[in-house]
Order: sequence, then structure tokens, then C-alpha cells
Amino acid sequence: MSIFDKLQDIDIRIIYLLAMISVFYPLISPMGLPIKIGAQSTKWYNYLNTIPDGSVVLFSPNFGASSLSELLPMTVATLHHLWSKNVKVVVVAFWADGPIMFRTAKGLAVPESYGKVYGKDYIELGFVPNGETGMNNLGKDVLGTCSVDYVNNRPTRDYDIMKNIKVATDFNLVISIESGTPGFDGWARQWETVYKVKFIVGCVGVSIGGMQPYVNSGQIQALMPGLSPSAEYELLIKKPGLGIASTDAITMSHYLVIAFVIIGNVAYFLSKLGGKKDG
Amino acid sequence: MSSLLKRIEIPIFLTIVCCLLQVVPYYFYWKPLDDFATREAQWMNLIVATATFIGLISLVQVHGANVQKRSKGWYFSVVTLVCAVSFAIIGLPLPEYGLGSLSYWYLFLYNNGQVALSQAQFSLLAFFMTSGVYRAFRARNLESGLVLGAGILTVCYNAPAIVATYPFFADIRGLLNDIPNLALNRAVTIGAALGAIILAVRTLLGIERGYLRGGGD
Amino acid sequence: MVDTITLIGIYIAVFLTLGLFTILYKENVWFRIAEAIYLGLAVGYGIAFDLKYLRDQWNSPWSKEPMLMVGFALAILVGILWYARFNRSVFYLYRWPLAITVGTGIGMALKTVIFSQFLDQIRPQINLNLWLPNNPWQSLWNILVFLMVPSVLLYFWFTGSGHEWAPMKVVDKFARYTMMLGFGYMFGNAVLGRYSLFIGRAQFLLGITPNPPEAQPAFWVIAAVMLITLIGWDLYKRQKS
Repeated sequence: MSIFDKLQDIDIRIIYLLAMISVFYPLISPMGLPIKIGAQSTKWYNYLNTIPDGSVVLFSPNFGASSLSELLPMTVATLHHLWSKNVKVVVVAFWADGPIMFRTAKGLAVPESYGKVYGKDYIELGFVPNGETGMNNLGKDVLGTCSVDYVNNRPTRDYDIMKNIKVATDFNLVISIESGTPGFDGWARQWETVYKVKFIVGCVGVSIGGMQPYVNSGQIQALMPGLSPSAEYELLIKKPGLGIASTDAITMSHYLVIAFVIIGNVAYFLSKLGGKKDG
Repeated sequence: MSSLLKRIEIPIFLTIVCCLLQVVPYYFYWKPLDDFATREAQWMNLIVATATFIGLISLVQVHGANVQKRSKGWYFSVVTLVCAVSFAIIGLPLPEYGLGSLSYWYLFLYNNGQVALSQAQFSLLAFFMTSGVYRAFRARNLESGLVLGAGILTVCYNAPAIVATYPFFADIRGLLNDIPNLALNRAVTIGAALGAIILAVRTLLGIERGYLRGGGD
Repeated sequence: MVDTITLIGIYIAVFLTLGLFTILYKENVWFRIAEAIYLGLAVGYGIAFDLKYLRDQWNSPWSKEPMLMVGFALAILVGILWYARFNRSVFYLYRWPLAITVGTGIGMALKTVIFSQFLDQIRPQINLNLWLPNNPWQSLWNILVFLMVPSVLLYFWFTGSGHEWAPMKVVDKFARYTMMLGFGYMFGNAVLGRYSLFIGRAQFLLGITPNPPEAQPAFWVIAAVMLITLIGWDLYKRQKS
């Protein structure tokens, strides 16, 4: 077995160990690797900056514990941004875990620290089952679909914030942080097409590709794709958090992936070349 | 009577009526019909929420049988059953009895159990992906070379330090995103739309019955 | 300083995280325990939200009018038919709620899919500017998108002998190159996604803010115990054989 053949057959546990080191090492001793603010995070930031005062935003955390690490930084940063503005925020989830995910994020971006009052400036309406049908129902009848709030179990209509919110057109923007279905396609079909309500989407890395046609056609106004842009967004709003803390580990783990691709391919070609020579 | 109720035409009829009820008022608006469609959709949400115990019952069937037969590793089935049933009970929406999704013990189990396990489970894919990349990502021909090239350039872009040092990766990633990725996914989106329409028409005509299969008849 | 129950919770979370990670070494009892707990919790957690939704809906609006109360009762009765799937003799009843759900779902999507997924995608495709005298590169990119979209559609459209036709072979090849580039791009993003999840777990294990700092000592202790038992068990089995 030549050295090139050996290089193509590294023990899988060594690969796993190196993958662990590539993440743990930069987290234990941060390297302060550079970071550049990209176009997507800037677009998201600018879009949220231009929301007029008094707007009503529907914030929808449509993800579960499995993608919490990837989506929490952008959720927290977006909430910081929203709380810092004079807008009203209504939180509704179409994923069962959504209400808990929001509460986790709310613990890190506390609305009360921005002077926001529950029931007046923001409200949690909990979970609506049945995905896209639930989105449709919410659009047609907000108070009927979410009859009581999630926190106090009080009738939704009793809250100040809900006085003028009855149907989808009462919202100026939907922010959907999501990791799958129901998600952007449901918003596009049930809200954007029917009521012309604008929406922006924060998503996991694996979903980026599928969103692009909707971004290009202008159906999705802005896209926050994954952890790296979340870190950039944290810089933009000057609230460094878990995203920034992750950037060194992202870079190092990606270096490792690149290194393995190079090792595998170089060894493959050299062993093929060696084989030809021997032949 | 029972043979009449068993007729496949009943669920097909229900499907057609429910489907048309949602579609017709959108194109031919008539307020009473639209209101009725809205109420039907809300009503259907209740039906879907009622299905919540299906998973738990299936789990009890499979793992209960394991325990009963003392199959290999039956004690793990006991653990599964205890966790499922206790989590379901703790989550019952009875805040007056200290239960429900906002109760201390529900959040305790959720944050320390569900969050830890879900994240750990999916993060395992990072390891499998790395070893998969190393073993299978080979430029054996032009097509695999294209996958590899596009993949590795995107990986370079996604590493914050790489793109900060070599900004041209952002331009390359922009091209990949805006040309082949957009084209591929636009074609898929259009194809999926056509597929959805065809599937709906087939279902409305009663030709598509795949979803009604099972049960042995 | 956290209270004892919170500390126990942190130790449980660390144990379960590492328990699942031990599968990277090999199948073992720690992994099986964590897996069994995961399965149980994953099945149990959603029930809380569905039942809460039912309770909230009953409180308002469904209990407010007699007709609505009947409707609610009917929904629950139809919903109970879901469970007919567990009995072969009444399995056919399970198809009724399924039919209502599928029918409503299809109707819901069908009414707007033609706009949101078809026309809204065809429109920018038709409006692509193929000749920009001041920006020849952009012209080229637009021409590529203009050609790539129909070629990928045609690739999936024709099956069997359709691909034997000579012009289709060229289209096929072009479509395959497009798809390979697209798949590569999506794969690159998937790498970021998966590592993001692992980084999140690693941040928890190391107790990096806002995660509880108590997780770090728990991590070292439990990791050591698991490693020693796994390697020890392996050595013991090797010695025995």
C-alpha cells in the first residue's frame, strides 16, 4: 500500500477527532480571526432599519431544538434590533417548539430592558398547528386562530396591542426564522400572494439554495442564511453574541473540510498516476 | 351499513368537497362561502390537533411489545416508554395543577433533554459529512469536478476568515448563487408547482388515491 | 451559583449530549440510553402544544355559541377517527379525517400555487435582460440563467426515449452541469449548517456565555467517565477473546 493509498484511507475516528479539535480549540482559546460584513446581513440590517415607526411585525420562530444553535444567534440579534425600534411585535409559531424557542431568545434579548411592555408592545400567541392551513387561518382571522395568549392564557382581544390587529393586512412585515416546512413557501402562498404582506426569512444553511428563486423574484425581501451572516449582523447592530463567538470555530472547521478534500483528491490523483507508471 | 361506510367514494368525496371549498371562494368571492371556508379550515385544525396521540400510541405498541416479549434490549424500551409517557403527562395543558408547556418540569425536560439530544443528534451530521467529503468528494470526471469545485468554493466563502482575507470568494459565491443555483431551484420550483397542480387535479378526479391506502382493503 | 436541580439538569444535558456523541467511537450502552431517552422525549413533547391549542380554542371562540359547540364536538369526534388506524376492522374510518385534512391542504395550496410558485417565477425568467451593452458580463450571466432553467425543466420532463433525441442529449448535458454546480453550492452551505449545530453543542459543553458555566466541569467529568468505560470495556473484551 503506497503512501497515497494510505492517505485515502485515514481511520474514520482520526477524522472525527480532528473535527472535534477544529471546533473545540478555537472555542477554548479564541484566535480573533478576521470577519467581513457581507451583502446578505447588510441587506437584512438595512431592511429592518427602514421599518417605519408604529409598524406591526409578525415574528414567527418556526424551528425546533435541532436547529437552535444555528438560528438562535440571528433570532436574538433580530429581536435586539426590533426592540430598539418603535414597532409592535406579535409572535406566532407554526412549529410546536416555536414558543419555547422564542422564550429562549427572549431570555437573551429582554424586551423589558428596552422599555417594552408585554401586551402593549409585544405579545406571544403561541403555536398554531397544521402548518400552511394554520397560516391561512391566521391571515383570515387572527383573534379566532389565536384566541388566548401563550403567557397568561388571557383572551387575545383584551390586550392593547391586538386592538387593531384582525387580519393579515394589519401586519406590515412577517419575519420568519425557520428550518423547514411550514416556512417560506407557506408564507408566499398564504400571505404574500393573497395579502401582499412582505416577508423576510432567516434560515438554516441547507435551505439557502431553495430560497434563492423567491429572493430573486422579490417575494422574499431579505434573507439571513445561517450562522456566518448572523455573526456579521451581530456586528452591525453592535450586539456581539453567540454568532461572533462561533466565527473562529466556523473558519477552523471549514479549513479542515477543505484540507480533507485536498488530501483526498491529491492522494487519489497521485495514486492513479503511480498506478499508470507502474502499469 | 358497514359495507356502505367502507366505500372508498366517501373519503374521495370528502377530499373533493374540502378542496373545492378552499379554492372556489378565492376565485369567485362570495362572503358566506368564504366565511364558511375559513370556519372549515379552523375546524380542520382541531381535527389535526386531535391526532396528537398517534405517535405515542404507535410507540407504546412497538416498545410495549418489546417489553412484553423481553426482546433484546427491552430495558431501553422501558426507558423510552417512561420518557414519552411522563413528558406527555407533564405537558398536559393544566396549569392549575402545575402542568403544561410553561411548567417548570416541562421546561426542565425540554431544555436539558430535548434540546441537548436534538442538537447532538443533528450535529453528528457534521462528522459524517466531513468523513463523507474526504472519502467520496473526488474529481473523477467533469461532473463530479463541478460538484466538488462549487462545493469547496462555497465552503471557502462560508468561512468568515477566508472571505475576509480573500474577498473574491464572495464574488464567486455570488455567481454560484445567482446562476446555477438560481436556475436549478427555479426549475425545481416551477416543476414542483406543476406537479402540485397535476396532483391536485388527479386527486379531485379521484384518480390519485395513494394517501387512502393501508388497512388491507 | 445555581441550585441543585438546575445543576442536575446541566449534568443530564451534558450526559445526553456526550452519550449521543459516543456513537462516533462505536455502538455502546451510553449511546443506547441517550437514544432511548431521545425517542421517548421526541414523541412526548408535542402533545403539550396540540392539547393546549385545543383547550384554548374551546375557551374561545368555540364555546361561545351553541352551533360552534356542536362544531367543536364534531371535530373531536372526527378527530377520534384518526385512532381507527390501530384497528383493522374499522381502519376505513381513519380515511375520513385524513381525507378532510388532505382535501383542505390541497385546496389551500392549489388556490395560490399557480401565482406564488409558477407565475412569480416565470415572470422574472421572461424579464431577464439578455443584452446589456454596458455590462457584458451581466448579459452573459442572464443568458446562462435563461438557458439553464428550461434545460433543467426539460431534463426532468422527458423520460425514457425522449432523452435519445440528439438535441435533447445536448440539453441533458447542459442541465446536468447546471445541477452539479447547484448541488455543489447547496452542499457547501450544508457543511456550514451542520457545523453550526456542532459548534452550538460545543459552546454548551464548554459553558460559553450564555450557556451555564457549570456545564464545563460536568463535560470533563462525564467525558472522562465515558471514555474510560468505553476503552476499558473494549480492552476487557479483547483480553477475554
